Amino acid sequence: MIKDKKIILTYIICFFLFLTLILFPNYNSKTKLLIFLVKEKLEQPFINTINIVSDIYKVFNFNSNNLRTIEILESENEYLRSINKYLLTLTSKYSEQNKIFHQSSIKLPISVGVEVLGDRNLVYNKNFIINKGSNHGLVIGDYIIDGLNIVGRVVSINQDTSEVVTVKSINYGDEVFINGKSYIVSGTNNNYLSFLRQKDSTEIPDFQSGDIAVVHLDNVILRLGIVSFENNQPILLTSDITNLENLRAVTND
Amino acid sequence: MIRLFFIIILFLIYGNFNFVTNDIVIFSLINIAFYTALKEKNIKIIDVFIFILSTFTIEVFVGLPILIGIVVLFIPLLLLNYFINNYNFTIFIKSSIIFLLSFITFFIYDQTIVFRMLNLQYFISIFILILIFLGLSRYGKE
Repeated sequence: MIKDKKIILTYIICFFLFLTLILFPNYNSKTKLLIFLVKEKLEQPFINTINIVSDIYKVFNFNSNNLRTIEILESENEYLRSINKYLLTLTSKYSEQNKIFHQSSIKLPISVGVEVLGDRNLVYNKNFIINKGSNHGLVIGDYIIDGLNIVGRVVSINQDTSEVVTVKSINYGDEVFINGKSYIVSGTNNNYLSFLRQKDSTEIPDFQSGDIAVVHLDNVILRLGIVSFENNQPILLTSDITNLENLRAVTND
Repeated sequence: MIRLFFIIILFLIYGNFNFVTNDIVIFSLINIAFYTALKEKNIKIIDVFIFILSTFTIEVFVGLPILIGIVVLFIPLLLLNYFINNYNFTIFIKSSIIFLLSFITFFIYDQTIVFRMLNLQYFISIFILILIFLGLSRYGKE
Protein backbone atom coordinates (compact mmCIF):
# COMPACT_ATOMS: atom_id res chain seq x y z
CA MET A 1 0.00 0.00 0.00
CA ILE A 2 2.82 2.39 0.96
CA LYS A 3 5.87 2.00 -1.22
CA ASP A 4 7.77 5.02 0.00
CA LYS A 5 9.68 4.45 3.26
CA LYS A 6 9.81 8.19 3.86
CA ILE A 7 6.03 8.19 4.45
CA ILE A 8 6.31 5.57 7.18
CA LEU A 9 9.20 7.49 8.72
CA THR A 10 7.18 10.75 8.63
CA TYR A 11 4.22 9.00 10.25
CA ILE A 12 6.43 7.60 13.03
CA ILE A 13 7.98 11.04 13.68
CA CYS A 14 4.52 12.62 13.77
CA PHE A 15 3.30 9.91 16.12
CA PHE A 16 6.06 10.51 18.65
CA LEU A 17 5.72 14.27 18.27
CA PHE A 18 1.99 13.92 18.96
CA LEU A 19 2.72 11.83 22.08
CA THR A 20 5.19 14.47 23.30
CA LEU A 21 2.66 17.26 22.80
CA ILE A 22 -0.05 15.26 24.58
CA LEU A 23 2.25 14.50 27.51
CA PHE A 24 3.41 18.13 27.76
CA PRO A 25 0.28 20.28 27.11
CA ASN A 26 2.27 23.46 27.68
CA TYR A 27 4.17 22.88 24.42
CA ASN A 28 0.85 22.21 22.65
CA SER A 29 -0.49 25.54 23.85
CA LYS A 30 2.76 27.39 23.04
CA THR A 31 2.75 25.99 19.50
CA LYS A 32 -0.81 27.18 19.00
CA LEU A 33 0.04 30.67 20.26
CA LEU A 34 3.15 30.79 18.08
CA ILE A 35 1.11 29.87 14.98
CA PHE A 36 -1.36 32.67 15.72
CA LEU A 37 1.56 35.08 16.12
CA VAL A 38 2.85 34.04 12.69
CA LYS A 39 -0.69 34.44 11.31
CA GLU A 40 -0.94 37.96 12.69
CA LYS A 41 2.46 38.95 11.27
CA LEU A 42 1.61 37.44 7.85
CA GLU A 43 -1.81 39.03 7.55
CA GLN A 44 -0.71 42.46 8.78
CA PRO A 45 0.55 43.70 5.36
CA PHE A 46 -2.70 42.57 3.68
CA ILE A 47 -4.83 44.24 6.34
CA ASN A 48 -2.80 47.44 6.05
CA THR A 49 -3.13 47.41 2.24
CA ILE A 50 -6.89 46.83 2.50
CA ASN A 51 -7.16 49.65 5.02
CA ILE A 52 -5.20 52.02 2.78
CA VAL A 53 -7.29 51.15 -0.28
CA SER A 54 -10.55 51.51 1.63
CA ASP A 55 -9.35 54.81 3.10
CA ILE A 56 -8.53 56.18 -0.36
CA TYR A 57 -11.91 54.99 -1.64
CA LYS A 58 -13.67 56.67 1.27
CA VAL A 59 -11.72 59.89 0.77
CA PHE A 60 -12.70 60.10 -2.89
CA ASN A 61 -16.33 59.34 -2.19
CA PHE A 62 -17.07 61.27 0.92
CA ASN A 63 -14.82 64.31 0.75
CA SER A 64 -17.38 66.65 -0.75
CA ASN A 65 -20.15 65.37 1.51
CA ASN A 66 -17.91 65.66 4.52
CA LEU A 67 -17.12 69.32 3.81
CA ARG A 68 -20.80 70.13 3.91
CA THR A 69 -21.35 68.00 6.98
CA ILE A 70 -18.40 69.63 8.75
CA GLU A 71 -20.02 73.03 8.45
CA ILE A 72 -23.22 71.74 10.06
CA LEU A 73 -21.30 69.84 12.71
CA GLU A 74 -19.15 72.82 13.62
CA SER A 75 -22.19 74.81 14.63
CA GLU A 76 -23.53 71.80 16.60
CA ASN A 77 -20.09 71.33 18.12
CA GLU A 78 -20.07 74.82 19.54
CA TYR A 79 -23.39 74.15 21.22
CA LEU A 80 -22.22 70.75 22.56
CA ARG A 81 -19.00 72.27 23.90
CA SER A 82 -20.96 74.70 25.96
CA ILE A 83 -23.06 71.82 27.35
CA ASN A 84 -19.89 69.79 27.94
CA LYS A 85 -18.36 72.59 29.95
CA TYR A 86 -21.48 72.72 32.10
CA LEU A 87 -21.45 68.92 32.61
CA LEU A 88 -17.73 68.95 33.43
CA THR A 89 -18.42 71.49 36.14
CA LEU A 90 -21.16 69.24 37.55
CA THR A 91 -19.04 66.05 37.46
CA SER A 92 -16.07 67.79 39.02
CA LYS A 93 -18.32 68.65 41.94
CA TYR A 94 -19.36 64.97 42.32
CA SER A 95 -15.76 63.86 41.95
CA GLU A 96 -14.82 66.17 44.79
CA GLN A 97 -17.64 64.75 46.90
CA ASN A 98 -16.48 61.22 46.11
CA LYS A 99 -12.98 62.18 47.25
CA ILE A 100 -14.33 63.56 50.49
CA PHE A 101 -16.49 60.51 51.29
CA HIS A 102 -14.17 57.75 50.10
CA GLN A 103 -10.83 59.44 50.79
CA SER A 104 -9.66 58.58 47.30
CA SER A 105 -10.30 59.50 43.70
CA ILE A 106 -12.24 57.27 41.32
CA LYS A 107 -10.09 54.26 40.39
CA LEU A 108 -9.97 52.87 36.93
CA PRO A 109 -8.28 49.56 36.13
CA ILE A 110 -4.81 49.79 34.59
CA SER A 111 -5.37 47.97 31.36
CA VAL A 112 -4.01 47.40 27.90
CA GLY A 113 -6.09 47.21 24.72
CA VAL A 114 -6.17 43.80 23.05
CA GLU A 115 -7.30 42.48 19.70
CA VAL A 116 -8.76 39.04 19.04
CA LEU A 117 -6.91 36.84 16.56
CA GLY A 118 -8.76 34.07 14.74
CA ASP A 119 -12.33 33.05 15.52
CA ARG A 120 -14.33 35.84 17.20
CA ASN A 121 -17.60 33.93 17.20
CA LEU A 122 -16.68 31.24 19.76
CA VAL A 123 -18.22 28.59 17.48
CA TYR A 124 -15.75 25.73 17.88
CA ASN A 125 -14.63 26.38 21.43
CA LYS A 126 -15.20 29.04 24.05
CA ASN A 127 -11.58 30.27 24.07
CA PHE A 128 -9.96 32.92 21.89
CA ILE A 129 -6.47 34.22 21.20
CA ILE A 130 -5.40 37.84 21.79
CA ASN A 131 -2.48 39.76 20.33
CA LYS A 132 -0.85 40.73 23.63
CA GLY A 133 1.43 38.64 25.79
CA SER A 134 4.13 38.72 28.45
CA ASN A 135 5.95 41.49 26.55
CA HIS A 136 2.96 43.75 27.27
CA GLY A 137 2.82 42.97 30.97
CA LEU A 138 0.16 40.24 30.88
CA VAL A 139 0.36 37.28 33.22
CA ILE A 140 -1.72 34.12 33.55
CA GLY A 141 -4.98 34.90 35.38
CA ASP A 142 -5.33 38.49 34.14
CA TYR A 143 -8.90 39.57 33.45
CA ILE A 144 -10.09 40.52 29.96
CA ILE A 145 -12.83 43.13 30.21
CA ASP A 146 -15.31 44.95 28.01
CA GLY A 147 -16.01 48.18 29.85
CA LEU A 148 -16.13 46.86 33.40
CA ASN A 149 -17.75 43.54 32.44
CA ILE A 150 -15.49 40.48 32.64
CA VAL A 151 -15.20 38.64 29.33
CA GLY A 152 -12.61 36.04 30.37
CA ARG A 153 -9.20 35.33 31.87
CA VAL A 154 -5.79 34.62 30.42
CA VAL A 155 -4.98 30.90 30.69
CA SER A 156 -1.93 30.54 28.54
CA ILE A 157 0.67 33.10 27.63
CA ASN A 158 3.42 33.64 25.10
CA GLN A 159 5.59 36.67 24.37
CA ASP A 160 3.16 38.41 22.00
CA THR A 161 0.01 36.27 22.15
CA SER A 162 -2.19 34.79 24.86
CA GLU A 163 -5.11 32.41 25.11
CA VAL A 164 -8.23 33.59 26.93
CA VAL A 165 -10.87 31.36 28.48
CA THR A 166 -14.23 33.13 28.33
CA VAL A 167 -16.82 33.25 31.10
CA LYS A 168 -18.98 31.04 28.93
CA SER A 169 -16.42 28.23 28.91
CA ILE A 170 -16.79 25.20 31.17
CA ASN A 171 -13.13 25.72 32.07
CA TYR A 172 -13.82 29.12 33.65
CA GLY A 173 -13.91 29.36 37.44
CA ASP A 174 -13.75 32.36 39.78
CA GLU A 175 -14.41 33.71 43.22
CA VAL A 176 -17.12 36.37 43.19
CA PHE A 177 -18.65 38.64 45.78
CA ILE A 178 -22.41 39.06 46.11
CA ASN A 179 -23.71 41.37 48.85
CA GLY A 180 -20.27 41.23 50.47
CA LYS A 181 -20.09 37.41 50.67
CA SER A 182 -17.80 35.31 48.53
CA TYR A 183 -18.91 32.41 46.33
CA ILE A 184 -17.22 30.10 43.86
CA VAL A 185 -18.70 29.99 40.37
CA SER A 186 -17.91 27.85 37.36
CA GLY A 187 -18.66 28.17 33.65
CA THR A 188 -21.12 25.83 31.93
CA ASN A 189 -20.56 26.35 28.19
CA ASN A 190 -23.87 28.28 28.28
CA ASN A 191 -24.83 31.89 28.93
CA TYR A 192 -24.72 31.40 32.68
CA LEU A 193 -22.34 30.28 35.41
CA SER A 194 -23.27 27.87 38.17
CA PHE A 195 -22.51 28.22 41.88
CA LEU A 196 -20.28 25.46 43.21
CA ARG A 197 -20.24 26.11 46.95
CA GLN A 198 -19.95 28.98 49.38
CA LYS A 199 -16.34 29.46 50.35
CA ASP A 200 -15.38 28.43 53.90
CA SER A 201 -19.01 28.14 54.92
CA THR A 202 -21.95 25.74 54.86
CA GLU A 203 -24.69 28.33 55.26
CA ILE A 204 -27.39 28.70 52.63
CA PRO A 205 -26.76 31.47 50.06
CA ASP A 206 -28.87 34.52 50.78
CA PHE A 207 -28.97 36.40 47.54
CA GLN A 208 -31.90 37.42 45.42
CA SER A 209 -32.61 37.51 41.75
CA GLY A 210 -31.02 40.64 40.27
CA ASP A 211 -28.07 40.85 42.67
CA ILE A 212 -24.83 41.70 40.93
CA ALA A 213 -21.78 39.43 41.25
CA VAL A 214 -18.50 41.32 41.27
CA VAL A 215 -14.80 40.55 41.45
CA HIS A 216 -12.55 42.71 43.62
CA LEU A 217 -9.16 43.63 42.25
CA ASP A 218 -6.79 46.22 43.67
CA ASN A 219 -9.16 49.19 44.16
CA VAL A 220 -11.23 48.13 41.17
CA ILE A 221 -14.51 46.26 41.05
CA LEU A 222 -15.30 44.26 37.92
CA ARG A 223 -18.72 42.92 37.11
CA LEU A 224 -19.19 39.22 36.26
CA GLY A 225 -22.96 38.76 36.04
CA ILE A 226 -26.42 38.99 37.56
CA VAL A 227 -27.98 36.40 39.88
CA SER A 228 -31.00 34.62 38.50
CA PHE A 229 -32.93 31.47 39.33
CA GLU A 230 -33.72 28.50 37.10
CA ASN A 231 -35.82 25.68 38.58
CA ASN A 232 -35.15 27.17 42.01
CA GLN A 233 -31.41 26.79 41.44
CA PRO A 234 -29.29 29.96 41.55
CA ILE A 235 -27.33 30.76 38.40
CA LEU A 236 -25.23 33.72 37.34
CA LEU A 237 -26.32 35.24 34.04
CA THR A 238 -23.40 36.72 32.11
CA SER A 239 -23.64 39.54 29.62
CA ASP A 240 -23.97 38.28 26.06
CA ILE A 241 -20.54 38.44 24.41
CA THR A 242 -21.35 39.74 20.96
CA ASN A 243 -18.72 42.41 20.60
CA LEU A 244 -15.10 41.36 20.99
CA GLU A 245 -13.82 44.50 19.30
CA ASN A 246 -13.04 46.74 22.30
CA LEU A 247 -11.48 44.43 24.82
CA ARG A 248 -8.90 45.35 27.43
CA ALA A 249 -6.65 43.24 29.61
CA VAL A 250 -6.41 44.32 33.25
CA THR A 251 -2.74 44.21 34.20
CA ASN A 252 -2.79 45.45 37.80
CA ASP A 253 -4.13 42.24 39.30
CA MET B 1 1.44 23.73 -5.27
CA ILE B 2 -2.19 24.80 -5.79
CA ARG B 3 -3.20 23.05 -2.57
CA LEU B 4 -0.31 24.64 -0.67
CA PHE B 5 -1.30 28.04 -2.04
CA PHE B 6 -4.92 27.45 -0.97
CA ILE B 7 -3.88 26.36 2.52
CA ILE B 8 -1.86 29.57 2.98
CA ILE B 9 -4.75 31.70 1.68
CA LEU B 10 -7.24 29.92 3.96
CA PHE B 11 -4.81 30.31 6.88
CA LEU B 12 -4.80 34.06 6.32
CA ILE B 13 -8.55 34.37 5.71
CA TYR B 14 -9.64 32.58 8.91
CA GLY B 15 -10.96 34.96 11.55
CA ASN B 16 -10.94 38.07 9.39
CA PHE B 17 -14.49 37.74 8.09
CA ASN B 18 -17.82 36.51 9.48
CA PHE B 19 -18.46 33.05 10.93
CA VAL B 20 -19.88 31.74 7.65
CA THR B 21 -16.47 32.33 6.05
CA ASN B 22 -14.78 30.60 8.99
CA ASP B 23 -17.01 27.57 8.39
CA ILE B 24 -16.10 27.57 4.71
CA VAL B 25 -12.37 27.82 5.57
CA ILE B 26 -12.51 24.85 7.95
CA PHE B 27 -14.60 22.82 5.52
CA SER B 28 -12.20 23.60 2.65
CA LEU B 29 -9.19 22.55 4.75
CA ILE B 30 -10.91 19.27 5.63
CA ASN B 31 -11.70 18.78 1.94
CA ILE B 32 -8.06 19.39 0.97
CA ALA B 33 -6.88 16.90 3.60
CA PHE B 34 -9.27 14.15 2.46
CA TYR B 35 -8.65 14.81 -1.21
CA THR B 36 -4.88 14.57 -0.63
CA ALA B 37 -5.22 11.25 1.16
CA LEU B 38 -7.71 9.69 -1.26
CA LYS B 39 -6.87 11.07 -4.71
CA GLU B 40 -4.61 8.26 -5.95
CA LYS B 41 -3.44 4.81 -5.01
CA ASN B 42 0.23 5.62 -4.50
CA ILE B 43 0.56 8.48 -2.06
CA LYS B 44 3.66 10.63 -2.50
CA ILE B 45 5.64 12.23 0.29
CA ILE B 46 4.48 15.74 -0.77
CA ASP B 47 0.86 14.59 -0.35
CA VAL B 48 1.62 13.48 3.19
CA PHE B 49 3.14 16.87 3.97
CA ILE B 50 0.11 18.67 2.53
CA PHE B 51 -2.15 16.38 4.59
CA ILE B 52 -0.14 17.20 7.74
CA LEU B 53 -0.18 20.92 6.95
CA SER B 54 -3.93 21.10 6.36
CA THR B 55 -4.83 18.98 9.42
CA PHE B 56 -2.34 20.99 11.52
CA THR B 57 -4.05 24.24 10.44
CA ILE B 58 -7.47 22.84 11.36
CA GLU B 59 -6.16 21.64 14.73
CA VAL B 60 -4.74 25.07 15.55
CA PHE B 61 -7.93 26.87 14.52
CA VAL B 62 -10.44 24.49 16.08
CA GLY B 63 -8.42 23.86 19.26
CA LEU B 64 -7.75 20.13 18.85
CA PRO B 65 -4.55 18.45 20.08
CA ILE B 66 -1.84 19.14 17.54
CA LEU B 67 -1.00 16.33 15.05
CA ILE B 68 -4.02 14.25 16.11
CA GLY B 69 -5.22 14.32 12.49
CA ILE B 70 -2.21 12.55 10.98
CA VAL B 71 -1.94 10.07 13.87
CA VAL B 72 -5.61 9.06 14.06
CA LEU B 73 -6.89 9.58 10.52
CA PHE B 74 -3.98 8.66 8.27
CA ILE B 75 -4.11 4.85 8.55
CA PRO B 76 -7.94 4.59 8.22
CA LEU B 77 -7.72 6.90 5.22
CA LEU B 78 -5.02 4.73 3.66
CA LEU B 79 -7.29 1.71 4.00
CA LEU B 80 -10.16 3.68 2.47
CA ASN B 81 -7.83 4.82 -0.29
CA TYR B 82 -6.98 1.18 -1.03
CA PHE B 83 -10.68 0.35 -1.19
CA ILE B 84 -11.72 3.32 -3.34
CA ASN B 85 -8.89 3.22 -5.84
CA ASN B 86 -9.02 -0.57 -6.34
CA TYR B 87 -12.72 -0.42 -7.23
CA ASN B 88 -12.01 2.14 -9.93
CA PHE B 89 -14.98 4.40 -9.14
CA THR B 90 -15.91 7.28 -11.40
CA ILE B 91 -14.66 10.74 -10.46
CA PHE B 92 -18.22 11.71 -9.51
CA ILE B 93 -18.54 8.93 -6.90
CA LYS B 94 -14.99 9.53 -5.65
CA SER B 95 -15.67 13.26 -5.18
CA SER B 96 -18.97 12.48 -3.48
CA ILE B 97 -17.20 10.15 -1.04
CA ILE B 98 -14.60 12.85 -0.27
CA PHE B 99 -17.35 15.45 0.15
CA LEU B 100 -19.46 13.24 2.43
CA LEU B 101 -16.45 12.26 4.56
CA SER B 102 -15.47 15.92 4.90
CA PHE B 103 -19.01 16.86 5.78
CA ILE B 104 -19.27 14.15 8.45
CA THR B 105 -15.94 15.30 9.96
CA PHE B 106 -17.10 18.91 9.90
CA PHE B 107 -20.39 17.88 11.50
CA ILE B 108 -18.41 16.26 14.36
CA TYR B 109 -16.57 19.57 14.96
CA ASP B 110 -19.64 21.75 14.86
CA GLN B 111 -23.02 20.06 15.15
CA THR B 112 -25.01 23.24 14.74
CA ILE B 113 -24.03 23.23 11.05
CA VAL B 114 -27.20 21.27 10.22
CA PHE B 115 -29.41 24.02 11.63
CA ARG B 116 -27.34 26.68 9.90
CA MET B 117 -27.52 24.78 6.61
CA LEU B 118 -31.28 25.09 6.77
CA ASN B 119 -30.80 28.87 6.80
CA LEU B 120 -31.75 30.54 3.59
CA GLN B 121 -28.21 31.78 2.90
CA TYR B 122 -26.64 28.32 2.89
CA PHE B 123 -29.62 26.55 1.42
CA ILE B 124 -29.86 28.79 -1.64
CA SER B 125 -26.09 28.55 -2.25
CA ILE B 126 -26.15 24.75 -2.10
CA PHE B 127 -29.29 24.56 -4.24
CA ILE B 128 -27.79 26.82 -6.93
CA LEU B 129 -24.50 24.90 -6.95
CA ILE B 130 -26.32 21.58 -7.35
CA LEU B 131 -28.41 22.98 -10.21
CA ILE B 132 -25.29 24.34 -11.95
CA PHE B 133 -23.57 20.97 -11.58
CA LEU B 134 -26.55 19.04 -12.94
CA GLY B 135 -27.01 21.48 -15.79
CA LEU B 136 -23.37 21.36 -16.84
CA SER B 137 -23.11 17.58 -16.53
CA ARG B 138 -26.19 17.12 -18.71
CA TYR B 139 -26.00 19.95 -21.27
CA GLY B 140 -22.41 21.09 -20.88
CA LYS B 141 -21.12 19.46 -24.08
CA GLU B 142 -23.74 20.99 -26.36
